[in-house]
Amino acid sequence: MALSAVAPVHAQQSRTLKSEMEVIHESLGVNFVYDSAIEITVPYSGKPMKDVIKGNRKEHSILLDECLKALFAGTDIEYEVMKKYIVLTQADKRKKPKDYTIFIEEQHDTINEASITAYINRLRNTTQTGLTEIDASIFNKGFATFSSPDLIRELQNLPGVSGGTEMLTGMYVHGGDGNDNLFLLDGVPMYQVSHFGGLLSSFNTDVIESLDFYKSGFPSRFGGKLSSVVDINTRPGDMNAYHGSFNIGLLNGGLQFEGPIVPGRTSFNIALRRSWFDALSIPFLAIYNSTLPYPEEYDFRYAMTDLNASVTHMVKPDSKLSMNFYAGSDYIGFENSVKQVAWWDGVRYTGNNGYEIDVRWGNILGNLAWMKKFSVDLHLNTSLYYTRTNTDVSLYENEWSAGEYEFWIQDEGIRESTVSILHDAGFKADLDWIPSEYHHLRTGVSLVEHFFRPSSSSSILRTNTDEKKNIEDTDSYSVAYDSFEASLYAEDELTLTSWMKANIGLRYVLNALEGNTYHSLEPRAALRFQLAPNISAKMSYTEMSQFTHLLSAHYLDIPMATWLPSTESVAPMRSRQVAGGAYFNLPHNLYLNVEGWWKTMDNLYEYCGIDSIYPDMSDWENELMQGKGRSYGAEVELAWRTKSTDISAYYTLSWTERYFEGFWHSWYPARNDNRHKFTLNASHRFSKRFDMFLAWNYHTGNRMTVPTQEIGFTEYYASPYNYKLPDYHRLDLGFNFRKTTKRGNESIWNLSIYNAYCRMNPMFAQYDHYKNVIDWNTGEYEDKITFKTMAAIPIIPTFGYTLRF
Amino acid sequence: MLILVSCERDAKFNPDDTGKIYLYGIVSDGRDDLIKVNVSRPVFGVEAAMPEDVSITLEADGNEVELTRDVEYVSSGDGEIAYLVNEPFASGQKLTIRAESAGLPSAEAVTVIPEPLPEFAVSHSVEESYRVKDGDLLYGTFSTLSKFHVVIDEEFSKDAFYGVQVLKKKQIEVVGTLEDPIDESLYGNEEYDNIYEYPVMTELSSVKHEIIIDHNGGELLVAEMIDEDGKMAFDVYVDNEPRYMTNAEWHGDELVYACYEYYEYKIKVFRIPHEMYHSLRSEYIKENSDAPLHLGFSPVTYAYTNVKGGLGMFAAVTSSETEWIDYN
Repeated sequence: MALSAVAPVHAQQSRTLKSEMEVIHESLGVNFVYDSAIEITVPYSGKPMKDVIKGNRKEHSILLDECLKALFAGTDIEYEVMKKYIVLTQADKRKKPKDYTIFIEEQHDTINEASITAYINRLRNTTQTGLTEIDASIFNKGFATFSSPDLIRELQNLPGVSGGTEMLTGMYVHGGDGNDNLFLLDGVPMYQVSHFGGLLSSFNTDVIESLDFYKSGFPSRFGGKLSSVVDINTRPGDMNAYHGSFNIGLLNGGLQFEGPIVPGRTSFNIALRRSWFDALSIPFLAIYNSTLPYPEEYDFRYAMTDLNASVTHMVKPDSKLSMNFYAGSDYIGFENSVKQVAWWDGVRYTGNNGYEIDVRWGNILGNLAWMKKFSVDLHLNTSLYYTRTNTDVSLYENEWSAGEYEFWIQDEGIRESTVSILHDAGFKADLDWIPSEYHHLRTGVSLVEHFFRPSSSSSILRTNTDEKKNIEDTDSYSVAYDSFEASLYAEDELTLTSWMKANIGLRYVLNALEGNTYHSLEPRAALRFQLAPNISAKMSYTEMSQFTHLLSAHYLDIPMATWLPSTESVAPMRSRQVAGGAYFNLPHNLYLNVEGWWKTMDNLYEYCGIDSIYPDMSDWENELMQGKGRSYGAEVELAWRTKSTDISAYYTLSWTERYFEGFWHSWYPARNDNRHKFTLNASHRFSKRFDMFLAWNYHTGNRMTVPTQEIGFTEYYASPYNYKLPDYHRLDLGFNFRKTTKRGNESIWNLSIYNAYCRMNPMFAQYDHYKNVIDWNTGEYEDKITFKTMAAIPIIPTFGYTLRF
Repeated sequence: MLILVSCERDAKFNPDDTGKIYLYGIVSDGRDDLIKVNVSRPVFGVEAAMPEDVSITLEADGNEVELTRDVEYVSSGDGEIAYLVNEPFASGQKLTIRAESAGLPSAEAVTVIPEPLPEFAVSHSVEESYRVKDGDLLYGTFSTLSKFHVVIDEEFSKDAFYGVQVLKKKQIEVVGTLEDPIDESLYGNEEYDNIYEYPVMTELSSVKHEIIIDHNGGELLVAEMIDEDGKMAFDVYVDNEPRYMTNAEWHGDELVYACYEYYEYKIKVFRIPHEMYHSLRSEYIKENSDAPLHLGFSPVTYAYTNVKGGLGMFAAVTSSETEWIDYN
């Protein structure tokens, strides 16, 4: 109360064009683009924008025009609305702001649209620390691994994020474990976020509109994971015109199409991707098999498909219904068979010895969302959703044998299959209310039922002999848990003074499983101090809880891992994080951000059973070791942006450690304890028809555990993760050649070169101690020790073609 | 394709310049408890010291405890030596062992004598040693096992660990009068029974994680605990050796004499501290795991030691045992 009483007096005294532009920016979602020569800090004495907007239910463009007219009346500033950008010019010069207008006109182009957003510097103006906002165009700025731009690979480049094993889409944020990132696709949690064993993320950038990535300073509207939030929104279909794109690349291709169903009211947007690695492997292996001198055959297939589809319907100008759907699946299969032949009494009998491995995994998710705008200041978003992730592993082994001296034939096959599924069915409602220019309230509730089906296994032993015909012996085993999670949150974006903003929130979560209930109260607070017009400082404190645990016997991002609930003996994970930073808009188009963080993590779990591809589910709670973690460090971002050039450099200095009493008696470095990380991104537009992109990545090597001591034949490990792999570095290049076709469509030939100077970065190391091996030079027996690093990813050039129509 | 272009290179790796002192001791009742000492060799280095060069001291609550070199201890060829502890300790006493040798990092480990064990009850049953599913034999041999079910009068906790040893003593019962005298030396001798890893296979071929180590010349099972009405409980299996007749003479329908051999059993339960459990389990995991642990794609290699600056394990246990019981 005291704040609201004081603030209006202060605000009245300091209202400027700029402060009112910020009100418009935050209320109506538009950005201002202007040349630094335009003076926008002049006092504004007209009707406050908040009063113009508040309670106004006019159509967005009419209201925006009304605001702009009122704001710039009597000034020498003219404006032009270009989609969601307001371009300001000075009346006497009649010249658009330098450097930026061209980007707006071509915002579907590959140039970094985020740089435009950055001009008004939302990073500096938002209250949250650790927030990165990325527009769709940044994904298409020039580089595409295996022909598809990759969202997660973009995030891996950011400071404070470790990428884990090369090429895979691991994401270890501020010392996290990789399974503690909340991925939301149109507000629906997604559990498996990669295809192809992690080589390609599940997010199709053809339909993604924007992404908010939080590493710290989490608003209370997000929860459920410890380390990061990746809030991804897809683009609703165009309400007025049909258009789309088609692309084809090294391993996959895609088609995207959108347009009106009922012009101006209902639209659709659909995108499909499919790999064709199987189409290449089938003929290749057919040729290979034909060269084998014995009756043996190999078969290997991999296929990936994903589909995004959405329908958006404007019920009224202030009421919108949307339905979003995603389905993604991967299949990998390997088969080996050797034909067997036996003769008896002149009759030929045949069979096969061999085995098959089939793995299928994927996600299905969808939601039905309703957005109601009661006024410009009051919105309600509700959503019913369903998400499912599943893995199905099937192993089949067949053995055929026949008698040599008497007639008998035995054909025996055993099939073992394991299915792991997690279903979530949920409802959530979020209310967004701006009661005054000093408060922006958000509150909401979420109810989710988790259906964990971590292991449903069956084995079938089929025996076929002279005496027994197709006798089958089956066995099955399953584990199931149903847990309920309810959460309630409230947050307020407070404008305390003209130079101080805060986001204060609280989240409460209840998690219940079979009579065992956990309660979690998670305070969130973020403060922003505007130290000078171009300098701000921020601080935040957040607590997060995670009630789901990923049980995996390895670090590879392959689907042999299972989500499990918090139980009586497996407690929810908890993180606490303090972050702070300073954000500068420097002269000469330079931007500098410095952030630091300190984070602790409790109730972390590591698999501690016998290593196997699939962990044993019968006793999984005893296969987990409980421990804790901590991570701290600093990040620096420096960017320089001009009309044709965009250069960003990121540096991270960090420490990440673990303490698992059962593993080691003191703190030890985590696997992704990369002390230094440096990324340089640069893009340059040479002409309208040609631009290029460059990215250089460096980080201190990942860690692994190798034996360092031995007694007799027994090897000992001096401490966990005692070996640091050689430092990692890589250069990626991308080139876009653009052309407008006769029909006015845009065609782009893209050449991407991954690892341009072919640095063979070690993925792991192998220690071997051979006892008593003969030295062929001396003829003497000796011990031989080898320590080798293994690398697998060379230079990978990729061609891709995209047609936008 | 990536496999085809993958490559390996020799890498520099020199994490340890010197070896480390290895200590392994389980102090139980202070009677001939062994503390084994060795020196490891850095994998890319040379042995810098011999176990004899290591001087060790043991303190109980700050007071030095006498250690006697066990000259009869024979190592398995790696030069290990052993010392004997012959002093009973009381629960709560803090034992600190320190070891030093020129050119090696000093090693130190601390353990606390655990609380005494509460009362426990033992019941016995006989089970088939194989598993049958739908009438078909899946795995196993045709024999029977003795199952001892132990319930400890202590509230169930996931963080409490217990071990068990089964001792047996062959006895003879004579009915009637034997013509020849019995060789008494063949009977009444205590021995440790072999613990049967059961059930080693479930229907889906997953291995149970039961840890069996050698302790004082006998097998000690670190048991998997069961929550039985809020109490700590576990099972231990040994081969079933029922009472059987070794010799008999009949005159018509009359039994003139008969000899029966049978076993009496004693169950010895140990309270095991955390550090011992973690160390034993890490050894178990390491021995039963395959290559992926070396490939860096697995979770942390399980290599627990509570010997700071060195290797091995130093722990204290308390134990309690039943009377000799004939379960036949």
